[in-house]
Amino acid sequence: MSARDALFYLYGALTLAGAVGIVRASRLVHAVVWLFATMVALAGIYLTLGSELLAGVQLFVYGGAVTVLALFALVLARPAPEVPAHLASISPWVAGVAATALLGALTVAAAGADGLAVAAIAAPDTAAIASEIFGRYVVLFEVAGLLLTVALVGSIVVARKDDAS
Amino acid sequence: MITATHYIVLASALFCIGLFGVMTARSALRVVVAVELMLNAVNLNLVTFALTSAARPAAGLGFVVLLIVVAAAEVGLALALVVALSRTSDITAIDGYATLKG
Repeated sequence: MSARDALFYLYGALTLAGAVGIVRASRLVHAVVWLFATMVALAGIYLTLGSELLAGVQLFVYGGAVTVLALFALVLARPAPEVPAHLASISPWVAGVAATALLGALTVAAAGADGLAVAAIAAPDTAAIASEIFGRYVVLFEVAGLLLTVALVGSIVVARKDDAS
Repeated sequence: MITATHYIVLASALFCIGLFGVMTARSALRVVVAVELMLNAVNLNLVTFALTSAARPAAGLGFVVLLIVVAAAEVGLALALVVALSRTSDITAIDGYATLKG
């Protein structure tokens, strides 16, 4: 087992543990902390794929921005009393069976594919990715910038305190 | 030896845990966070396929960066909705949001 394999299993286990923590944490703030751990571990997974740019973007955008945003939403939203589990519309058992069945089907489908060794991949460097984004797909980049602006303005409009009423 | 299958199975597990979270969460914020998990699983899938079987891997990774931008816009709007919902109603369970004011 090479160092890359060991790192994959380490970060993979951390990612799944964090994901379970998000779903099962009894308090919302703990779920957000688990989200941070999951995103950091996923950045490690991207590193094992040899893509430093994606690892950095994952760390900044998800580990940093999205986690802090979720914490802000948690603080700004009024604290709501926890609803008892038996009042949930879908029972956890039904949801668990459905999710496990989907996971089984996906795993069988993935195992059927011929596995390409990851060690043989030469991940494209940042300059190659940049020349794709700012070259052939520059219009896509512009639209993404427009989308971010619209989402920013929309968020302010939605979350603003309505003084008129 | 780690293969692309390992990464796809990891992404599938992440997606299914996120799905379980969306189905069982009772607060809107946890639903948003679980949806983020599912989005990240899809991202990991796309990265794996871009690196292993795309004709131009750099373009695939560029798409992943743009996808992260779209996901960031989505989470910003979703969290704004969570704050607005908690401010305008006394409903605490996510199932209670069954009406829209148009």
